[in-house]
Amino acid sequence: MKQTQCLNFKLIPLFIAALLFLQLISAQSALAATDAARGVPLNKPTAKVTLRVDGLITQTNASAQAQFDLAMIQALPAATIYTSTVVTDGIKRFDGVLVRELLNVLGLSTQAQSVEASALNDYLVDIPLADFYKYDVLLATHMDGVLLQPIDKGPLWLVYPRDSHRKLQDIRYDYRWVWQLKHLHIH
Amino acid sequence: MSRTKQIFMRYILPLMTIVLLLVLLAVALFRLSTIQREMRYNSNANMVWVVYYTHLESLRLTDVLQKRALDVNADVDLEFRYQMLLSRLNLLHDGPQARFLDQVGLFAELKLHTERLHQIEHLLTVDPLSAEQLKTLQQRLSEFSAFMLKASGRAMTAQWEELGAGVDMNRNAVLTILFIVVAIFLCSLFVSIQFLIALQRSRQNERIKQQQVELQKQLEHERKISELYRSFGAMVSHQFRTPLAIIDASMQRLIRAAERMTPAQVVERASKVKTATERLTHLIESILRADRFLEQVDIQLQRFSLADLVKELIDRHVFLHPCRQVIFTVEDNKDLQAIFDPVLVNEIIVNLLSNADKYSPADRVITVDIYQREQWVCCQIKDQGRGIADKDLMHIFQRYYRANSVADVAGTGIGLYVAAELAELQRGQVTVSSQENIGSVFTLYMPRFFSG
Repeated sequence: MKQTQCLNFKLIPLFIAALLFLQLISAQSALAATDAARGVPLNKPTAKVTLRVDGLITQTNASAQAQFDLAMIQALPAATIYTSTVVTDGIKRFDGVLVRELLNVLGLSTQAQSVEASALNDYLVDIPLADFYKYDVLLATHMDGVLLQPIDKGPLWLVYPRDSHRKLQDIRYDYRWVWQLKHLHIH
Repeated sequence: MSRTKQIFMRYILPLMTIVLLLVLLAVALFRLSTIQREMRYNSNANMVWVVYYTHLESLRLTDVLQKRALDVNADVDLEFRYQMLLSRLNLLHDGPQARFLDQVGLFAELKLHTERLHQIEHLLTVDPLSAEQLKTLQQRLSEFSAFMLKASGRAMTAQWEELGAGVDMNRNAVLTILFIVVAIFLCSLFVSIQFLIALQRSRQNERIKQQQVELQKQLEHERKISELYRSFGAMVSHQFRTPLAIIDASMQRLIRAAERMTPAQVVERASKVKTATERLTHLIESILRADRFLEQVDIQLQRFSLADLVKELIDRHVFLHPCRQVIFTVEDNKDLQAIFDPVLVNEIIVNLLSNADKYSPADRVITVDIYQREQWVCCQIKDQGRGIADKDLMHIFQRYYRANSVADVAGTGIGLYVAAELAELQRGQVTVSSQENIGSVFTLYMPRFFSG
């Protein structure tokens, strides 16, 4: 028994080392993905531009800008979040793509710190980039299976997984839920 | 203080205080956790913001309408601004916002305004707008703007009320906690004082118990002394009675028949009286001598051969009592050295030898053995006399104690007492074993000398 415990204690540093190694690998694969993204130029939008991104990005498809139509956004890996919001009742289902997937495609510069998000009504808010890596923040295109319309918080809504993290149930995160999102400026 | 009251003060009250203390702590924790929870939310904060943006959209729509009215070719997206306004209106109709407006009595009005704003949708596509149409649009938007001002006022009031209530609640909670903490402090103080009092009480009890033990000891001492006096009295009455009786009888005879007596008979009587008197004197002497001896004893421990000393004493004894046969042996003929005071051991051995002589028939052998046992050098003196009864055996070393069976032999009951005391003073001891009509064995143990 004692020996097993001893062995377990000895295993802890090994375990930590393994974790670190795995993290290194995943970081590298993330880098690789970025590299791949860098290798593949962004397509040009074929329909109406829904989102424009500029600032500290390396991938562009217009003058110093990356422009996306809805199809281009939906081509990214899909993600779903179930959460309540401060402006609606009950738990809602949100479909879309994770913000960090979008950022991966853009090939962010290493100096990038935060995102200035603006909405159709010119609402402007600064969000730390770390939010998107720390939490599964969604760039939602659908709420309860219905495509978001400009008349109702669409076409894109930044949705935080509010119900999964107690820290996100705070007024200081509520203002980061930008709806009618139209523009991201990375800086 | 009655017993019930005492139990209440000592046990029940402190126990109740501790329970109260725990309850107060629980309440304080509960209140603190409530504050902690409440601090996170401020639901009405959102409302001010929503109303502000709705109002702003209506103003922006008014603004672009104004621009269009001034310049038909102005580059404005009227429809987009209208869509934006509708999106805000939709937001106002969502659950939390609708509930708030209902609460402040504005929801019906909102519905009315929404309906009226929907009614003007067709006018937005009209190009160019007539003065009448423009006026209608401006009228509706201005009414809506007024409504939004009212709503923002209510929202702000509600928010501030909520904030104020929150501050009040927190202040009350903090005040309550302050009181609770004071109460906890007082309870702790009370329990501590009770604890100290209990501690003091237990110490006092301890002291009383010690005093009782002390008293018990004194009592025991008194009992022993009184026992001593009784033994002394018994011994005196036994030992003094016979000589006194002899003296008395002789004297009476002399008084009654002095004339008829020959001088020789008078001398005989007088001699008897003299002998009896001498015996009494001897008894008193020996009692006093023992006391003096034990009081003034001056121990000088030294390394000495016990066998040598005992041999010398036996020789002297045999010289004084030539009829008695004494057999003396030393274990392996060794020179057994011990630590003792020869003067005191002399006293002990003489006493034990004289006892053996006194209580055994003259023709019986006395054996004396010197041997070594563990850390002791022993001297065993064994007679073949009358022995000692079991009931007397345990008292044999007590002062003045004399067994009933030896009433016929003169003695004070001091000799063995002195022997035992002296042995103890030299860190040794005297033991006895005996069987009636077979004989007694007295053994003196003296600490052995260890070289180096």
